[in-house]
Amino acid sequence: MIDTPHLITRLGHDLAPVRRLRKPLVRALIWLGFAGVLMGCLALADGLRPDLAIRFRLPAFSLALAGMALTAILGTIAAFMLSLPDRSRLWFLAPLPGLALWLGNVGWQCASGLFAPVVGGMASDDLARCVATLILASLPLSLSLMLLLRHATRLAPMPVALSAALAISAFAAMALTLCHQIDASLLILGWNLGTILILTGAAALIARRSRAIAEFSG
Amino acid sequence: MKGGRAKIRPDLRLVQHNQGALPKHEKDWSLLMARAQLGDGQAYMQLLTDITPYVRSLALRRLRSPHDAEDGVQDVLLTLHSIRHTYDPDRPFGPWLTTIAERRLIDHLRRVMRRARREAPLNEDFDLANPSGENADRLDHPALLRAVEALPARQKEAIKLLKLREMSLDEASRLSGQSIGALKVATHRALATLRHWLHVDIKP
Repeated sequence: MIDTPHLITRLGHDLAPVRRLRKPLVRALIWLGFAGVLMGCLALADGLRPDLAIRFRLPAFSLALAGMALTAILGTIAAFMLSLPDRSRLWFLAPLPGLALWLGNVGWQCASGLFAPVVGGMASDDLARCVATLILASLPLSLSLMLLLRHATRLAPMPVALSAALAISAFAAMALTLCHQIDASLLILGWNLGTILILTGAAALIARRSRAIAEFSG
Repeated sequence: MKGGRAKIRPDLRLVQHNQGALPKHEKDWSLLMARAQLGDGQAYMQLLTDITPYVRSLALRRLRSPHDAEDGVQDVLLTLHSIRHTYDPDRPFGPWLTTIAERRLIDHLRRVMRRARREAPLNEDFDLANPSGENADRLDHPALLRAVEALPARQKEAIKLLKLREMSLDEASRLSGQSIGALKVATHRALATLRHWLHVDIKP
């Protein structure tokens, strides 16, 4: 271990200028714009579901979709806010109203038997198209968000990752709801949040192992 | 270290006030950080030097060992360095710094506690400097010293500081620059090597 004054001198020596991050709200809005464009491209490529106009007349459908949009927007803003050290941790709660609206209405639709919530009995090519939509919606969004929020890894990555996962789940569910005649909200949420938990757990385990190895070989 | 602690107290109080007001220091620090973001190394070094006593006071509150605390301080400074682009000069510097410090120190404390669970403290059973009983008769002191000299550098340093000069782990760590964990591992390996070379039953 070098001594602290020596470390400070080394850090200050040849200090490179850095580009300050834009305000978190601005960054969130720019990313939401990118996500919106991606959703538009998916809708163009896949085509909207034929019964969309009829569906919109059902309040539970419109409210669930509004819940998804709200979760996506608030989850994104929360992730950008939480990634900074000096913003309130309470931002973590921001996507919850949207999530309640979304899941509440999905639950209501399930309870009233408006449509089946799980992909049971689908034709295999339909299923393949649904999965393709899911991946095309989730992957670019996840990767871009990970890149933009990478500085949070040394602080408190879990709330950031969970908020981001909520936002991405909401976008993926929206894409699926608008383009396909199924609702897989719970499946998508479970998949995205589960993946985040597994990845974060694996990262923590690897970090712990590598630190232990470094300590022993030191 | 005690002098250093006494010196940092006023800074600590000021920052605690900072939930309400720490205007003077914070404006200075904010300004220095803004200049550091533009690449001003002198301003950056001054800022890091100024905040170190405060970060150290936070570290000493969580980590009892001065060595671990200093490790924590350096971790905080390195983290601050790697995410210095996230500071917004329009906002106060205090909360930004305090959050980084608290989160890194909690992480550091967890690491220290894991290490403590994994390792047993060195005690008098490790004492080779004054061998007694059966082994004392069998140990050839010049041969032992020659064997110690032949050890790899880190192991030799650990054995010499901890056993021959009978320093505490903290003192040995400060002097050698090796972490306490590394010193313990080096001592363990050195004892195993000596046991092998000298064909004696040296107690670990």
